[in-house]
Amino acid sequence: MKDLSVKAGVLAAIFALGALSFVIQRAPDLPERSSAGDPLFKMLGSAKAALGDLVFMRADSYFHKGLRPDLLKAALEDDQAATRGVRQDTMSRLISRDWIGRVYAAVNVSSEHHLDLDESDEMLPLLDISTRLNPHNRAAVLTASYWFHDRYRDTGRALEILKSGRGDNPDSWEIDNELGRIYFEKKKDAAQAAFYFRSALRKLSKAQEKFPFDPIRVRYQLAEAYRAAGRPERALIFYKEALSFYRHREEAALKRVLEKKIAELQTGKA
Amino acid sequence: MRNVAAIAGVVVKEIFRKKDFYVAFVFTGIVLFYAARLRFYDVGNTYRYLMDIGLGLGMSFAALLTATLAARQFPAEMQGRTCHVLLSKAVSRREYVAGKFLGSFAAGASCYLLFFGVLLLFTLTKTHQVSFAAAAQAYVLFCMGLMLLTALCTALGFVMTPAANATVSLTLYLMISLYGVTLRQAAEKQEGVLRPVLLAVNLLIPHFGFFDMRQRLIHGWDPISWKLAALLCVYASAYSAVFLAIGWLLFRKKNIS
Repeated sequence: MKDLSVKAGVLAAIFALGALSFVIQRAPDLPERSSAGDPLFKMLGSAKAALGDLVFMRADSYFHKGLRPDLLKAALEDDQAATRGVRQDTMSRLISRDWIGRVYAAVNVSSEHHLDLDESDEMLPLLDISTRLNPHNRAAVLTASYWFHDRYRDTGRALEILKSGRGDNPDSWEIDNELGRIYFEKKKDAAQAAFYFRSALRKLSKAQEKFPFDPIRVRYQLAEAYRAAGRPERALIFYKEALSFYRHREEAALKRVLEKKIAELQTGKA
Repeated sequence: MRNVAAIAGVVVKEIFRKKDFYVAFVFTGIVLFYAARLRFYDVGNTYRYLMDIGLGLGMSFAALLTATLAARQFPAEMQGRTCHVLLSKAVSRREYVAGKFLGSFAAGASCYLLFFGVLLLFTLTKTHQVSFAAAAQAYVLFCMGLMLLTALCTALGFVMTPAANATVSLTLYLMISLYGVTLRQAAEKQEGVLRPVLLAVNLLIPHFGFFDMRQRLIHGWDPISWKLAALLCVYASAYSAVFLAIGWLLFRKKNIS
């Protein structure tokens, strides 16, 4: 009898766990593209996202014309002064310390070059694969949108990528900020830009400690969008807020601009 | 020499008789065909990712097939007792080791030639920017790496089971290929006894990463100097000779009766 009740208990626990797995799968927090209904996710599990991140690293290597990302990272670690010239010197120093390093330097790509504009298409397949495998890789989403917006001047495609990325990363302030920037600078749609900058600001508040200059930048852009949309009173609030975030030595030039714009709005020159 | 060639010939036939090679070849073809049909952001004139996938798959399958082939030679012959028949005839143990090594290496190099040839043709349908000098160097140097791997597997085949041998050899191959380039930097960060040990390991290990010219070929860089390519062939041959000598010494003392 006791045996039977133990077996029944185990069976009940298994059924309960099974039922729980269905609840977890349907939970609204789980992003659609990486879980339910995705056969690749069912097959690979979270390895799918890891694979996506690897492909993104490969895209970075393509951007540097085949330079191994681990070499670039090692060079960066070796010398924190990461200006382009210094990094190049560091890299050759890093791999040329002995004859083994010199052979690696000769056989591999060992100097930092970037893709020319006519060959930059080559990076796109990897960026696309990377965002398909791991739609939560914000850097991949932002890089793909940057490529279309700033390199190819294809604003429509950049917006498409960002909006899709926004759906997959509802907590990302960076994507909202980029959407706002494109609407403001390229589409000249100040109202829509203000909507996205406002959304970015709401999300950023959680992460302010990590990014010391970003609260100023997002507030400044939001104020600019409000001003362009014909709402100077809202613009004044966010210019002032941006100024209140200045502590030490960040972007002195922008600080002067902010002070000038506040003065203009207060004297009614807007 | 005739004995060595006869033993090697049998090994080469073995790889093409088994289904493994055809499965890998068809799989690579399907993956490439599928990847070539994909549209990425409606951009159609890209080919580097195809070369990357094709070379990656070709090199992985060639290394895998060669290592497993070389690893199973001696244990399989011991199990089937064909080794006794061979060695009871006028075949010395040195010829036996050399024949098995040359056969496994030739089989691996010819497998890779097929993968590489098909990929090159496939790439030429998309672009004409492939440097034939760089392609020739990439093929020859990869074969040199394959030769080193084959020699390692042949030597370990006299003391390990095929599965253990293939696992150890391929793990070493992968690890050295991936981390060999930054091993010295990692060693210099260590303190105490680990530092000289790692520096010595860096000097002693066969650097398989020397034989991977993929990125130069994919991204259209110039070929390396022919002098360096020749020196790398000497490097691979020297290490292979050392591994084969160790294998022969192990086999010479082995009681196979």
